[in-house]
Amino acid sequence: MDREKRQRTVRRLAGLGILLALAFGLGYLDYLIPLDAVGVPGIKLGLANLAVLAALYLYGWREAALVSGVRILLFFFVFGNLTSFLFSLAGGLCSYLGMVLFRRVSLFDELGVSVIGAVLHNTGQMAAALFLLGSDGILWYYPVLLIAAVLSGSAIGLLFRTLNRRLLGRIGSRLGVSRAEGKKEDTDGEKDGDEKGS
Amino acid sequence: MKRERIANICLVGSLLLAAVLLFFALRGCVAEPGTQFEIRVDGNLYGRYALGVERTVQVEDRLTVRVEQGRVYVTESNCPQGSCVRHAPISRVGERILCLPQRVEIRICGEGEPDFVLRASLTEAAHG
Repeated sequence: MDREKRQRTVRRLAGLGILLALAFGLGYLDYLIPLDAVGVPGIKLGLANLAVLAALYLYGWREAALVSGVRILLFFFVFGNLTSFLFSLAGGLCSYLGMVLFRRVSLFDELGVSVIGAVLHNTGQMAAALFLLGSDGILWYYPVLLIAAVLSGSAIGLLFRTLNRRLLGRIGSRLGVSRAEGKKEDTDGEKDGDEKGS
Repeated sequence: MKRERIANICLVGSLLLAAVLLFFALRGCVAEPGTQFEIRVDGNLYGRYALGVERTVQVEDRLTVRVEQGRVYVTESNCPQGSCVRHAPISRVGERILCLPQRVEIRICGEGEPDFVLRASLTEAAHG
């Protein structure tokens, strides 16, 4: 492996470590914030998705899968709640697949990808709950969950989009970003026309 | 308008619309005051009780259900977040309180068999 590639690999590894820690931390913060007042149990902001989004946009689908999957596992190891783990797994899987798909389709930007991620996450959890609880009672919560997902997904997506354009575009090489973000881009006249070279 | 912005608006708009429609669709299926309620654990019927009788039901070591003046609510629960305890009392057919970590569902139902108890492990307390 030539030197530059090695450096990139090491940086990418470090970057993934940071993203994983971020995902875990945000996930915990999520758990602390009680949105249950709405009356719907299990309603979350989905902050951890920010890290998965970052992994997806900075590195690729494999890395995003890593961040998402390992984070879910980590939560299980730390908190040991099997039911939560299954819910997270279901939600995380659906969410991940949707995000990768939407990312491919150049029609959607970070906001769209985040929204579909959040929505599918809740939908996946709802489906898992339907199985585990064996009754359709939970369906009642779905409309609220949907709206919450759209709102939080939009917020996270917006936040990430701003971060991506302003910050990550510039420091990309330090994180070992491998792909040139030529795909969908700053055709909207923002001053950040930076290429994330490597 | 850029393509992305239009796409975003369509996405968000349709999702919100779907949520609202779903809400009204579900709502359309319920509403009258119930006569009994059921408690289900792990999807299986644990017990069915009349709403008119004041009582306290201890669901194993999972949670405690109280019925008062035709309304059902959870007084304590062995779960991490306790959203079931904070849930408003329910009384209409179709309304339910869930405790996902303990996999318990309390649901209001309408006409049916008269009050009967399925499990022996109940503590019935008179109204105090």
